[in-house]
Amino acid sequence: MGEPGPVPLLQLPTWVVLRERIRAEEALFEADPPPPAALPGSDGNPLSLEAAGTLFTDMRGADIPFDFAKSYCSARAHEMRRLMAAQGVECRKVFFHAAKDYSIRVQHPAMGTILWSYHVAPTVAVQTPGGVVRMVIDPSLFEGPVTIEEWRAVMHCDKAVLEQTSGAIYQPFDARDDDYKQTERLLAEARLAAEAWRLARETAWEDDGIVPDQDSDEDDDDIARTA
Amino acid sequence: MTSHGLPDPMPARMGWITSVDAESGAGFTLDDGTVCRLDRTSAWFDFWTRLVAKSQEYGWPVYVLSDAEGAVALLLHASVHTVEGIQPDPDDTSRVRVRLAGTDAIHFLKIDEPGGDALALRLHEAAESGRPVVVAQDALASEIVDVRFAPAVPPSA
Repeated sequence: MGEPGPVPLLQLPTWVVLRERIRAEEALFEADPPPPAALPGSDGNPLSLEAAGTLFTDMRGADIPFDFAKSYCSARAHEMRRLMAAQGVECRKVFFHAAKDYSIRVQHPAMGTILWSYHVAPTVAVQTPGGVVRMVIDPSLFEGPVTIEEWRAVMHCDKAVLEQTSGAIYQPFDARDDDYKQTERLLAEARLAAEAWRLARETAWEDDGIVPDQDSDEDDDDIARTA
Repeated sequence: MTSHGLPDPMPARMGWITSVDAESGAGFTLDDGTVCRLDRTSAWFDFWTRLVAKSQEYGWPVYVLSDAEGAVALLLHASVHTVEGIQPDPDDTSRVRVRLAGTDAIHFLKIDEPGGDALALRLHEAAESGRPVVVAQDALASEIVDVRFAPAVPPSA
């Protein structure tokens, strides 16, 4: 008998063939890792209506001066984004920009008529019976999550633009505050402004001999808080 | 009387707090050397002490009305902005609307009150030049009460 010739590939032991196939498949996975799971609140993983309501309640209960709606919306929205991220929820933002020389007018239950150059709030994707919709979390204006159309409808302006952005956008012109330093600073300012406004109102009432009527505030709540 | 119901005239100052009287907690010094004293009997005392502490912590300027002895009659938060625009207020001809960079609010300036024209002129100069200004506004109506050009480098504490 002579020397045996090379073993044809097809005659390799089964385990060698299997090993080569596994290596080839592993290489495929290494080259193209699976996409990360979509975060709750993103379009690929919408929240339930109930979860969106709970998220709204969590935000409203945070140390954010929602009652001082005259200003500081960018800080309120960005702080909510930070708190949502801590819960593993991904938000986007919706801006409503008045054109130059125009103003957005809002009738606020506590502060009366307010004028803004823009307003911003976070949005999350929510699964509704009609499909996935983005809903706005804005406790400065509403008592629960609302659609972008409902949010837009309480703000009056003859010339304005609605813009949806990444949650990372903090102020107009794509300004960012990735370390939340500016947010913290503005929120500190907002808390003081809110406190000063309450004190000034009380002082004005005392000067005029007026006793604040708690019931009338509740009636006023119907003006904008229609959600 | 001023629009804030204060005795008139009383010198108004805008500046940065450089030191706080740690012992009493009721006094502070501005960067121009003015020593100010908070009235412990004022309804605003607790708020003012917090405002003084935060202003020093964050480097915010303040607006102060005080008498010759340094007793504070009014203390307001102030902030530095560039002016984006000024326009007449179609709802109220006695005031103008002011847009300040970095804020979403529309601010107001009464132009029919003493000094209103001078403040409006300063705001227009700031809008045209791009120079930042220190702005103080009242707590209730968000009306601008003072505007001054900001120093190139804010004084440090």
